[in-house]
Amino acid sequence: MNIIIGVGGTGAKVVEAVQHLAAMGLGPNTLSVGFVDQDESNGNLIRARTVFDSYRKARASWRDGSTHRIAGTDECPLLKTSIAPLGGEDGLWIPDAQPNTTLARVFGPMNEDQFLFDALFDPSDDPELAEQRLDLSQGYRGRPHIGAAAMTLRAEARSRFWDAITEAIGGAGQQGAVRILIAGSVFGGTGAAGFPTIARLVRNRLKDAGIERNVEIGGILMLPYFRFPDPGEGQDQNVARANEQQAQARGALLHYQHMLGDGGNEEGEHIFDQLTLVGWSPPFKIDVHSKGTGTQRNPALLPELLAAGAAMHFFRSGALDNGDGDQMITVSARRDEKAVGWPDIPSVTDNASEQRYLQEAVARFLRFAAAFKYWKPQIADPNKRKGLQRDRWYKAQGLDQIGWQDDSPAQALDDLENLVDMALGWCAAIDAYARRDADNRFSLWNVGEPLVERIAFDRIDEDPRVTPALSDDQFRRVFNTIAMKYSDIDEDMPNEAKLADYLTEYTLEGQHEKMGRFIAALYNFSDVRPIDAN
Amino acid sequence: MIQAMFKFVAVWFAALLLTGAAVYFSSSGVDALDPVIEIERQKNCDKADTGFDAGGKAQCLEQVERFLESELADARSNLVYWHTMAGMVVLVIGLIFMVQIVQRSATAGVPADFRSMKGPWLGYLLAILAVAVGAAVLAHVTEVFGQWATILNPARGWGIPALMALVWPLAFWGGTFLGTPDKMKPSIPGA
Repeated sequence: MNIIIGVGGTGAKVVEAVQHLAAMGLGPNTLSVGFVDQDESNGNLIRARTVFDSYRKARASWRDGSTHRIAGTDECPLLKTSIAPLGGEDGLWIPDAQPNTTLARVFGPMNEDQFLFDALFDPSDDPELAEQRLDLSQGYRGRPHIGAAAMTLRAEARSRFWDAITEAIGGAGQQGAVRILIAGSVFGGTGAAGFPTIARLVRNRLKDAGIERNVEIGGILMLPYFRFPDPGEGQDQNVARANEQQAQARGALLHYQHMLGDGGNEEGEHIFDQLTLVGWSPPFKIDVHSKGTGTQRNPALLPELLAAGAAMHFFRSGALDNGDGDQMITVSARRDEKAVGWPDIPSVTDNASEQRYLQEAVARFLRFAAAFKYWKPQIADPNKRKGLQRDRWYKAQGLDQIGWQDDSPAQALDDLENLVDMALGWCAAIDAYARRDADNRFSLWNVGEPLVERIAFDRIDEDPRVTPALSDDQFRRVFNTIAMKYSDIDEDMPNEAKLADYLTEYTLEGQHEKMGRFIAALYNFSDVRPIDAN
Repeated sequence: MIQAMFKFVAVWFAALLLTGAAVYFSSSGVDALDPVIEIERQKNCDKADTGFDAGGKAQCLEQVERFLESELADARSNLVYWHTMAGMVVLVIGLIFMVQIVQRSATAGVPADFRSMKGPWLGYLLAILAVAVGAAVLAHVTEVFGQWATILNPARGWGIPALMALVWPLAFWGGTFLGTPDKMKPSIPGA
């Protein structure tokens, strides 16, 4: 069983990235997704949950018992991961869901402990200093010690979220290994508070249950990787500030050093079986700042891909092992500060021969997405479809067998398009911010105009807009340039004419049904390498 | 490319052979010739009995018969030559189209590309019709092909070119249909 828990806004962004990679077919077979956030209206969380809902909807339309089924994973691993909410509802744990929650209300009357409480948490009403009376409904505002206290207390109360974790732990061994991955940031509020707290709570539950095997706890800790302007004079000042990030991160890392041990002088707790630290220097520049709520909808950024890749590695291969059973800590790095290419991205498998697995999967998905954005509008439009019905590729892929009146694939196609658009928007944001500085060389993909509208750096609350359809010329250009090679010396990928050849000459062997047959073929034939006729 | 061209050549060759054989063998009797020729020649034999070589009419008629057979043999030979020459032009046109469509196929990736050779195909079809009409006219008004068209009876003199005007476009359609890569089939009308 695989569980991922995104803690706070950045944790939610990592979960969003994991879901995009799962849509590309990189995920494990099953994945339970949980979110922890005091601020339910956090834009990052909302977007991650929107992707979550879209993924599940698309998967229901194309996998398992659906009419237009994509069968198996060999020919087309799209949407192979069965994603479910942790705990069965929406997977979200809000430590304190009461309105106008404050730390003082969470703890209730302190009686003789009031002095200690006052010593630890500022009792004033000053909006810049308030801690006991800080409104927590919009998160912990960069004060992790407040969140840690509130979460630890609330985790003791029963909830479906924690019951699901306890149940998963209890079933370890009988249902195979249980891998729990927690993602959060070292900066900010909710993530910084919840990441170590939740990991420790899970580890404690393992100890309480006497379980030492078949459960692995992984962590993805996001170090500062973006910066934003401080709030203006007229804005709320009680927010996480960019210039505080570095200091906060440094302090937090010292805390982790004490907590986890440094492998030499200090003996620490064994909390994580594997911990991955991901950051970026210099940090990406985000033009607009907001505290919690819906406007905190930060754009997708490259380090989230690294985080998602680390998550995929953890779910595929388990924790890295140095042979001593120690907790393994890895840190992201790259060869050149001004350039990033596929060789900089860690492999998602342990197999040395699969070093390019991530690049090939992402490239194939992007090429598929370009083809899908071209072919889908033609197939779904009755007038255009009529003009295609005599085409050999149309017949070869069984599209002439589909009853558009009785078993219309229109809804399924829309569901898939919705998810594909989200993935393209995610890639487009990463692309745009990575190339924003003219000195930077970004060599992972080219997702931008005309497929996705130019990213507005001053409107981060707006998600990237994907074009509803590509024209002939746009398709030719986008299909041949959207994916980038692992290495400059690699052979060119098959072009759009080859894709048409494959669609005309080959059919897949899997038991794909109706439109699923075409989608699987479109995906399979978008491979970065020429198709072997055998 | 080679395979596509081979398919076209196979269809073209079949058309050349079958229609050539059909026309050749259906023109084996002297009745295939224009009856006016026979009548005029036979008229000359009417005086054969009145001359110094009386009783020579039968011999004259035999000579007429041999002459007609000789004329027919020449006409059939010229007909085959005409048929082959016209066919060669069709072959060249067809092969040019096959080269073009196979080359286009290598870069065709969208439905508009798959249909993009429909215009040229129709153009080449018209060219083949023009070749058929031109060949018929040449056969009738010049001696380039030995005047076989004026020697054969009018039904054959005009019927054979009319048949060819049907056969060669059909051969062009069949050859291009078979030889064209599947992806580019929408460029071939009716395929």
